[in-house]
Parts: sequence; C-alpha cells; structure tokens
Amino acid sequence: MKKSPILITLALVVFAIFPLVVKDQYYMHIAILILYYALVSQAWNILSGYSGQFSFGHAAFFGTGAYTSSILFTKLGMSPWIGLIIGAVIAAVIGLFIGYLSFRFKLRGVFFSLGTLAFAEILRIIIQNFDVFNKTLGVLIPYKPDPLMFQFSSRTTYYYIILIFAIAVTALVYYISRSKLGYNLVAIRENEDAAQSLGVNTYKNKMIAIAISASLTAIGGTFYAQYMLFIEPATTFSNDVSINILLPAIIGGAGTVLGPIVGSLIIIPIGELTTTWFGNFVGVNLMAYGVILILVMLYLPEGIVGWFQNKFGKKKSAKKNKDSSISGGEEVGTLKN
Amino acid sequence: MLTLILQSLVDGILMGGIYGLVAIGLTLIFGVMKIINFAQGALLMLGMYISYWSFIYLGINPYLSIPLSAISLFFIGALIQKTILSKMLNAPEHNQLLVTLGIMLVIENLALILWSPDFRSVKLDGFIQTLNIGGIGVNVPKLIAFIAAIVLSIALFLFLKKTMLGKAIRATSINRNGALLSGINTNRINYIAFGLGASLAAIAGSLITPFFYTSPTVGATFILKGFVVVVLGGLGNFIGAIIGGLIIGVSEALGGAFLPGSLKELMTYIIFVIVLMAKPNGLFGGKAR
Amino acid sequence: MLKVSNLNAGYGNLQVLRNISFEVNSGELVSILGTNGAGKTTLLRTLSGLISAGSGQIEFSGKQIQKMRPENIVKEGLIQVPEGRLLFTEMTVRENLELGAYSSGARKNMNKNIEYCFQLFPILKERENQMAGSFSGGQQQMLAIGRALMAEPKILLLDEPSTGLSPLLTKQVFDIINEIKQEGVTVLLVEQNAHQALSMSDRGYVIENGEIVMEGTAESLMKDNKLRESYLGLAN
Repeated sequence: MKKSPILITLALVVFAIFPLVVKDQYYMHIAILILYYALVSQAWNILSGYSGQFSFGHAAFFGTGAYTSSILFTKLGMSPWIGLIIGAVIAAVIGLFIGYLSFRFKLRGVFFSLGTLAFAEILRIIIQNFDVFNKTLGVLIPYKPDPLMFQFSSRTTYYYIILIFAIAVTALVYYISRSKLGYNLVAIRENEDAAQSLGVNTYKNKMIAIAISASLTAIGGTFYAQYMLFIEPATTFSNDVSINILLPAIIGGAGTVLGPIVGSLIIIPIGELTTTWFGNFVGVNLMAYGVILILVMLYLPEGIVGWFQNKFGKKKSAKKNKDSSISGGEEVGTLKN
Repeated sequence: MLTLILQSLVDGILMGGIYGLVAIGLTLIFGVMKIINFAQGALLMLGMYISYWSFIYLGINPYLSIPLSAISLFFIGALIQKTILSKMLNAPEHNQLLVTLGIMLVIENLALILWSPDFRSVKLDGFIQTLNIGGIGVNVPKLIAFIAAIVLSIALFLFLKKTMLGKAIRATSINRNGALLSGINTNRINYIAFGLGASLAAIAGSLITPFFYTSPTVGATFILKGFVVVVLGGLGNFIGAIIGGLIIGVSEALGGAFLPGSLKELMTYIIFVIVLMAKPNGLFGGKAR
Repeated sequence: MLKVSNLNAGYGNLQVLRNISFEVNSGELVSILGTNGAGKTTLLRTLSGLISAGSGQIEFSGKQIQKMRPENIVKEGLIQVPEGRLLFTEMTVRENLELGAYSSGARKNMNKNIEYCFQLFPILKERENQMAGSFSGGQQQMLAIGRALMAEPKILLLDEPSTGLSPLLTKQVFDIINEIKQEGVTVLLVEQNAHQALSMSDRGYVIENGEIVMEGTAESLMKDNKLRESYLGLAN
C-alpha cells in the first residue's frame, strides 16, 4: 500500500485537532462512532480480509469484551482497564477455540462463515439465560466518571482514546500486511491448498490471525461498554452487531489497510443522516446499509480502497480482470464448476 | 414424562415440516445457482405479511391466500435474480453471501419501516384449534401446515423428476456447461429456480400465519434454522432437507421441554456445529462447494 | 456451412486463439489437429458460445453466431460433444438423452431419436435407467454422442472423442462418427489422434499456439513431411 506519508500525516493532524475545532457534542459522538467502528472492523479485517476466512460471528468477541469488563467492574469493582485486558485474553481464547474447531475440521468458505454465526448465537443464548450475566436485562454501568475506572465526563477524552486505539490497530494491520504473517495470510486467502503445499503452516497462521482479531474486537467491546454505560445481549452479541462489524471493511475494502477506515467514514455518517432525516422510522439506516452493500458487491466488489488500488496501483489479489480488449473471454453463463 | 416426550415429538415433527419447506427452497437455489440465499427468511416474512394483510383487509383465510403469496413471491424472487444475482454468478462465494445478506437487510428493514416492529397475529374463528389424540394435543394449524409442507415437497419432487423443465433444473445444477450445450437456457433456469425458492418460502410463511406471530423480524429465526437444516441434510439434497427439518424440529421441541428459558435454541446450533465438523456434507451427502 | 473468420478469443487477459479462419462445408468431415494447449478446446467452446469471442466472425448456415447465447446456437443446429463429456451424472441414461432434445425443435422427434440412439449404442438401451455417473469412460462417450445426436445436429462438433479410451473403443467411436457422417451430418472433429482423424476426414487444419499453421485435404496432410514427424510420429 503506497500512500504518501504526507497524506497520512495530514489525515492524522485532522483527526487530532478535530475536537479542538468541533465542539458540538452530536458531531463528536458521530466521530467516536466512526472511529470505534473503524477499530472493530479493522480487527475483523485481520482475520477475514487478509486470510479470506469470512467471519459472520464477530459479535462473539465484541460481546465478550463488553461483558467481561462490565461484569468484573459491576460485581468486583475491578477497573475496566484491567477488564479490557482480561476481556481481550478471554476473547482470544474463545477465538482459538472456534479456530480449533473450524480449522482442524477444515471448515472453509461458506461453512466457516455459517459456523462463526452459530458460535456467536450460542454465546448470545448462553448470556441470555444465566443470572450472572443479568440475562436479557443487560448490565448497567453507574455513571461515575473516574479515569482510573475508564469513565470520563468529557466526550473529548473518549474521542482521543478511541482515536489512539484505532491508529494503533491500523498501524498493527499495516505492520502485519508487510510481515511474513501477512504474506502467509494472503497466500492462504488466494489458494489455501497451494499455500499449504508450499510449506505455509496454514493452521498456525489462521489461529494467530483469529486470536489477534478476537482480542482487538474485544477491546472495542470494552470501549463500547464504557462509552454507552449500558450493554445487553441484543446490542453486543447479536447478528446485527456482527454485520455492523464487517460492513465498513467490506465497503471500504477487505484486505486493505485503509479499507475499514474509509468504509467507516462513509457508512456511519450515512447511517446517522438517514436516522436524522427519517428518525421516526426504525431501520432506515440498516436498509441504507443493505442498499450500499448490494451496490458495492455488484460494482465495486473489492471495496472502495480495493478499487482504487486496482486502478492506480498493484494489489496482491487474484481479481478477475475484466480487461478484454483482445481476447473477449467473458465466460457466458458458466460457473466455477 | 412419557406424555411430555410424545407431545414434544409431535410438536417438533409438525414444526419440522415447515423448517423442511424453508430448507427445500434454500437447497433448490443452492443446487442451481450455488448461492446461499441469506434472504430466504425475509422472503418467508413477505409471504406472511401478504397473508396477514389479505386476512385483515379482505377477510381471506390465510390458507386461501397461499396462491397469492406464492405467485407474488415467485415474481419478486425472479426479479431479484434478474436484477442482482444474475450479475453475481461468477463472483467469489463470500461476495455472493454478502449480496444476499444485503438483500435481506433491505427487505427486512423496508418491512420494519412500512409495518413497524409490532408483533401481529391472526385469529381464525370457527376453527378447532387443538385435536386431542390419545392424550396428546395436536395443534390443528400446525398439522395443516405440516401436511401442506409434505404435499408440497412431494409435488416439487415429482415436478423435478417428471417434467422437462424439472429435469432441466436438475441438469443445470449438476453440470451447467453440459446444460448449456444441451440447449437449456440456464439464465432462465436460474430465475425460475430462485422464483420457486422464493415461492416456497412464501408458502411456508402463509402456512404459519395462523399460529406464528407476524413481524418483520420473523425471517431471522427461520433463516438460521434453515441453514442448519440445509447443512444437516446436505446442500442440494431434497430428502435431506425434509428429514433435516424434522430432526431440528424435534430436537428443538425436546429442548424446549427439558431446558429452561431460551436454552432450547442452543440445541439447534450445537447440532449445527457438530454436523459442520463431523459431516459437513450433511447426513445424507450433498454438494460441497 | 460453418465459416470462421479472424477469430480471436481467450480467457480474460490470456489470449488463446489468434486470427483463426477456417470453414466446413455441408456434408464434410473436417479435422482440426493439434497438441495439448494448442487451443482446440478453446476453439470449440467459442464456437458453441460458452466463451465470447474478442473479435472475428462465426458464420453458421448464413447467420452470424459469434454473439449468440449457447442455447440459441444449439437451436440453430450446431451441437457439441464436449471434452470431459459433461454428462448429467446423477440422472439416468434416458434422462440424459431426453435433455439432449431440450430445444423445442428436436423435442417432437424425441422418442424416435431415442430409439435411433439405442440402435447405434445397444449398451445404452441395456442400461437405460442407470445413472450416467456409474458408466465407464467408453460408455459415457457413447452417451455423450447420443445426447448430442438427440438435438438433430446440422453440424456435430466433437472434442477429442477418443481421450482415455482403449484402442478398441476408440475404433468403435470413430466407426460411429463415420456412420453419422454417412447419414449426412456435417462433422468437425478435433483430435490429437491425427492418424485416425485424417483417415476419416475430407479436409483438415493444424492448429499450433492458437494459430492455424497448416491446411489441406486429408490426403495432402497425411503426406506432408513435417506433419508426419510432429503429429504422426513417423520418421521420414
């Protein structure tokens, strides 16, 4: 990914001074939403974008992070900062468990996606049925700002925290994309069997990816809990959450470093706009997301950043090249069989 | 205790017929187009609403509005296939899944906007709700739904086996290029298959209107169970879809009888995970991708 | 009957056929020879519409078919027995044959034509209700040819019909192709087995790296020294 350092620095500066320029709490909230979706989507990207194992159940990790820190805080008074780390670890373990069951048993493609969906649902049902998690009532975090307890009176502080998290995770993804792990993951995505025969330990690499992805998603979950101060199974473990996590990456470009951020920058404001214009109707934003998803899949299947990279640069991807000037070759009505 | 088990078995089998019907639609679409239709539940929901509104505004019995919902959804399905899915036939499989997810989001949320999230239900008067057979209560609407589902499955089976169009559909799902070279218009087969799949979902929706709550989010329950049944029975396997439906219906009912709260839903997913690991091609063998 | 002019085709950015031109006249049996990867299968797939040509013309019975959908090309009477046979393995012999006659034109005579196929290939009648997938290679080839005949072809394209067959079966298949030709069906035969192909053909072409490098009557090709070395393995 060759993006000029000047543009990056410029973007960072804009993000950094944003709260100094914009004081409106509503816009601050949107900015926080954008960044926190960028974070979790970026985390998803590590597993699904780079290794091509599309998870439809990342809510499992998100909810784990949210509930771990919240339960530890409300029942044991443990600081959510520590809860954040514990949540990340637990999520990583759950991720490894799911990974073990999936990868050892060679779940690929659609089967893997549906499998992750099932795992997320299993967790949701468990949470909904046991008192220790307050079942469907959810967990309420008392409003008592205290930096040591990961609670702040000023939105601006939340903004900077999530900004730092988002930048850190993006930097991590950038680093991974250029590392051996990254190359291995892409090889697995392009052709897992070929990668295996070339000596790549596909199992180990996928496990590393899912563990990292899970723990980072959980961090997003803890942040969400501490920002919203209320969590319940429907907002942390549900299918909708999994969909919201993967949308920015898909639209922005799965498997690219900037994809989740670009995707987030586009769909969150659209979601908010539709809710504002059509506020009395529930679900307008999701419908808008659906339309965008369909359009992107039809016309920009590589996502926005992916499309840019194909047009103006090189990308390590076996995109079906539609450039058919000499040879035609558009397979008519035939499928992959 | 025995009565409880028997009652659960009966309830489970009856409901299982409906799951099977949803799964048959999914498996038909997958067989022909190799696409997993995430929107199948949403299409079922549309079928429900057609029957619901027919009942409320036109006083038509939900069972009588089945042809209406079936035909409407056939055309909606064909439209979706022609405008969107036909362009995705050669796309990577996760993109195909995502596009049907997008379609589901649009349909479900459009319904939410138009009809609000309120749960509605249909009350049929002058109708014996429950039959008592040897101490077991058999819910009549459920029984009707089950019988209809079985009859429909048999009809579909015969259609595929005996008619030229049915054979062409099977041929397309076995070997697309071979079908093309035999003069079969596979594009038309695609939208017929998708339209049929959508119809089946709609019919299932109409059948459950008398005993299930009508709401825009109804589809979500059925789609997840539908996936489980399809994988259990084998992708592309019709008989497997029915039997898978019965298995899921029964295990869910037994779970509901013996497990507290909503833990019964766990049964379905745990079976799913086990099948995915042990026999991803389904109990009866189906197509892997 | 079939006239191909300056045909270019391939897969995406990979061009396989370069400026191919040839023709097949009514009643002829024309062979196209070439080794693996020369572009023979790509050519047939393009003729049948499975691949869209980049540029060039395909004229069949007076119509331009290079942009036609595969099922319409079948309706016109251009029928292919493809490489790999592409049979409906989970359907019976009878069903496979019936589907060969799917086009509305051929359906009228379906039963008559099925009887004809059973005459040509008695083994198919024996196993009428068995799954096509349970057959051996040779039997599958018979079924594939039978299925093609059900479409009442004006021209029959065969993509390496002898692949994977024993010498005996190969002879059987070629005998049948000859018989088909005697019935008046025009045949375009693509083969690696040059000797067999040329001995039955009227004319032939040689394709190499996607280009036609040689053409002529079957006799002249068989006598050609270069050809004898490369394709017939005969020293001079």
